[in-house]
Amino acid sequence: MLRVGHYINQFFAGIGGEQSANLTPQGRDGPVGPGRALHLLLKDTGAVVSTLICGDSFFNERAAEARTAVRAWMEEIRPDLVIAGPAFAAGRYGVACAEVCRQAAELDIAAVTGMHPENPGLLVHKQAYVVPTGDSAADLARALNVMLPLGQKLASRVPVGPAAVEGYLPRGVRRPGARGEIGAERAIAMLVAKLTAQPFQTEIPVEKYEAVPPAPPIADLRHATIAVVTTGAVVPRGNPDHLKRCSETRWAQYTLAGRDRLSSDEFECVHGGFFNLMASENPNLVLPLDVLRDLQREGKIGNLLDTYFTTTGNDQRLIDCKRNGAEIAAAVQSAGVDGVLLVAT
Amino acid sequence: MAVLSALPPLAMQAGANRVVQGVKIEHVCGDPSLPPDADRALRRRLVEQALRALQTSVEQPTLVQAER
Repeated sequence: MLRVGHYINQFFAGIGGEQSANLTPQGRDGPVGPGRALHLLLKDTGAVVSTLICGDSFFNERAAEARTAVRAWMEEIRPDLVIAGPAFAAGRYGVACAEVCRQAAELDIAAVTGMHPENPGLLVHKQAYVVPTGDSAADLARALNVMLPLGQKLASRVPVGPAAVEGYLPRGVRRPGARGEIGAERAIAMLVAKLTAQPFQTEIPVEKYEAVPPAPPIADLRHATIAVVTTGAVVPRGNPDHLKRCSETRWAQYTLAGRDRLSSDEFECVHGGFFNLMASENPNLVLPLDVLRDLQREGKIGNLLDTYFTTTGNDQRLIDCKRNGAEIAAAVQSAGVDGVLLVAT
Repeated sequence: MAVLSALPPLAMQAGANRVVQGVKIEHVCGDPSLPPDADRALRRRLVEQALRALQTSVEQPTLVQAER
């Protein structure tokens, strides 16, 4: 018999709306609110044994206390499956449901939630199994009919299929597996479908990049300060900050002061995404300090910032790229830089 | 910002507005197979081209070509 624990907010518990959003976490035996529908769907295969109710504001404003309460509830009830929500388009509720799923995962308890694809809760715990729902409770019955079978599958430790097949939102996970046709055949079939305006499903969805408005041109380089940035992982020899060869999440800055060129005695390239021996033997091939100093000496550029910035542009998540870019941009801006040369390897 | 890249289509697809064609991924700013002086001259041309790109007005991701 499947023991289900259900998490809901104050509204779905029938306690109240915003005026009750500070409700402290409290457990109830058996199903409450939408849990009753869940209970009926389980038939004789299981039961909603307990419901945890918490106010949406409480969960978000007193997050540590809420997390402790969720964990204590799960440890007490020891459910086989946790169902959270669904939260639909309610942002704070979505965040709470995602956090409940995270806590369940930490205790190795199967968990499923449901929310609208634009609910900010999706950003909280990317690994959560989230069934997409409409933006209101009108979609409750349909959502539960997808959430429960998925949860039952997870709880029974049966391998779960891809997002599109099982009806959850993509979790950014790719699993190796055998396909009927080789990659070349699938790619050609996709290309033919595209060329003939037929629908097709990509196997590698590409994250969308945002359009960035171009900066105005620099009027007079002779009075401009230029900074140099590279994704080529050029670092002082010995790699003092342990910049990673791939999948880096950080950036680093190092001084160029007093140097006319980058020598291989002092610098090396630790990028793991290309053959980096040549760049380590002559780091100017990636970070062209020698000619920048020439141009500075000749007065063609006003000044070269004495600090350069680097990260490893190799299998870096888009979210880290964005943050690193913003942080480096803030650093060069506060240093009074007018223009940046970015060498992308 | 001007981006020196061995793969300008990728840089432009990612939204870089001023892009200059570099040499190769392993050595974007030069060519170690050339004699040192020629390598350095090539590097200078590339950096000058990137500096020209910084002085060029663009509306969207643009490959800033070498001056002939």
